[in-house]
Amino acid sequence: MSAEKKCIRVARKTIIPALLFLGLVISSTAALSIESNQIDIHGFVSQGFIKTTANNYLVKSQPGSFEFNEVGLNFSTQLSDELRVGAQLLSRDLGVFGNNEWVLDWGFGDYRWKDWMGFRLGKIKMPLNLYNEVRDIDMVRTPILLPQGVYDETLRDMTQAFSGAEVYGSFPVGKIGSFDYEGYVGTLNIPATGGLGSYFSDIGLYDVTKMEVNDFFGGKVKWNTPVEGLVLGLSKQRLDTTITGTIKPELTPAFAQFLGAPWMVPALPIPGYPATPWAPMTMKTFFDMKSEFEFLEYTWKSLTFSAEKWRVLGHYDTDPVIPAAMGPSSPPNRNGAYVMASYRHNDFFEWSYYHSRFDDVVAKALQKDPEYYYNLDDDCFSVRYDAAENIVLKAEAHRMEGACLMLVRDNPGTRDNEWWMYALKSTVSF
Amino acid sequence: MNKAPKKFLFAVVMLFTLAAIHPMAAALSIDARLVVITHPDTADDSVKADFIQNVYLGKTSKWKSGVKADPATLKGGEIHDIFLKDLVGKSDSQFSTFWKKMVFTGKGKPPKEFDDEAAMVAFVKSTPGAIGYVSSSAPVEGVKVLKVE
Repeated sequence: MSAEKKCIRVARKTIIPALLFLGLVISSTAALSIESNQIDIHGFVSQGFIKTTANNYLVKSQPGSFEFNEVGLNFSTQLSDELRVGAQLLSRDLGVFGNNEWVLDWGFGDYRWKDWMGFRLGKIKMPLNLYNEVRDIDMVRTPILLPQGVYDETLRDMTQAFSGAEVYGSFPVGKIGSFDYEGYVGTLNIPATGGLGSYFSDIGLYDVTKMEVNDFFGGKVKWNTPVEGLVLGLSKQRLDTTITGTIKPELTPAFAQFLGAPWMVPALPIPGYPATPWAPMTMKTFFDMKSEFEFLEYTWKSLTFSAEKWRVLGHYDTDPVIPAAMGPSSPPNRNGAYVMASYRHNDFFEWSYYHSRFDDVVAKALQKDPEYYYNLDDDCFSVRYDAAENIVLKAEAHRMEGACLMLVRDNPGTRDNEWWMYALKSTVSF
Repeated sequence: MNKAPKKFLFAVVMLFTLAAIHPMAAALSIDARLVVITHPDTADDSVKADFIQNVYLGKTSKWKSGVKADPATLKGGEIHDIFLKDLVGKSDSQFSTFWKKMVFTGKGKPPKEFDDEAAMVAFVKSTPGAIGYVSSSAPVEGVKVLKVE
């Protein structure tokens, strides 16, 4: 991409939204002073424990792990009838991810012009489906872990939040009910060593060194149907990325055979790589991902039923081109689904059950491992106990079949097909 | 088009058709033990049940006159439960969970909470645009009782 086009893209995503937001702040009211007693402060602390009978899933779970916690603190204030600003800091730990580093979870200005149209600018939680925006908020659901078939924790780099602008609103449509909508555009900051980068590295082609977002936008519509308690919705998102990495040294000869380029040159030992007679080779993947979600939630008295389907599709090209002998170039991607029921038994107890399924069609096409490595079926039973207004205790058991959604670095050996996972968690909030 | 969205759209169309032919929605109705109150200067003498639901779920922030709608709730009790069930369509725990989601995603601020009906009436009486609820036997001097349609 030319430097000029890159400049225009950066301006569109950052400077223009910032100027718009500044204009809204100046025009909304003459006095924007904040008194300390007008700032709302909320927070939560969650600590969990995970243990599996086989495989290391999300954390080093076979021996059991406490590397499973979240701490959040948010501040917000209403600057005028239409304008609200706020931010939340989040520290989380889930195995190799997070490691309790404090990050800006979200921080934005929200200008509610009309009921049917408002604007948000800043870092905003991603509106994808039923529970993505609250996936780190343990006390708002029954199960400890959301169904991983749809809420894959290893891919939260691309699902957690975005920086940019959002338009949203709600409008009634007579006897049809009402619609809530959100449309957004912006960018993501995806670390090379995060879950998404690890996923591409685990496929076994290359070690990811850089992830760039070229285009990012999407939208979500929720239909509050005339059937009381029934909500339907769908969302679509486009994420166009360029992923740069270094081809695994052991694969470089295979690539060279098809490229026919004079690549095998004697080289001095390269730090971090095994001694090889050839220089490391860079690979770029141009991945134009399209995510689609459909969801349903039905609430009847104390029973809530929910179901979702998700898929990631998209064409990808590589440079150099992956030789056909090493696998197809652009297969269908990944998909998942779940059905869940939860029941509030009384003021203290709530239970839930879900069945979740995930299929990794991309990795399966490369046919490196047994078939069960590319799917994961999860039957989860959870119990929640509200010990006090702001204290929640949970326990759950998962019957698992399949060995997908696991990191190679946590599972260097053979993975078991049938296994169990147990989790405990407590949360205090204010 | 991918098969899955086609099936989803088909289900949506069927549901819409079903709802149009056989309206399944139970209209929100108000229990006689409950009255909805507002500041005496509020222009409206009656409101639709949908308006109350939207105010308490943060979807509507203003009265028709443009005055900010300031909702208030009781911390618990029978009247609170009846109000939420009949006019908001949620139980107390569902309502609490809804507002926790809004707070921890930065998308809203929950209604003010009051320990008892006297405190609720005092707040509504002194706050333009406020809306609340009390039992039908509670003293309501200084506030306007709204008719709910």
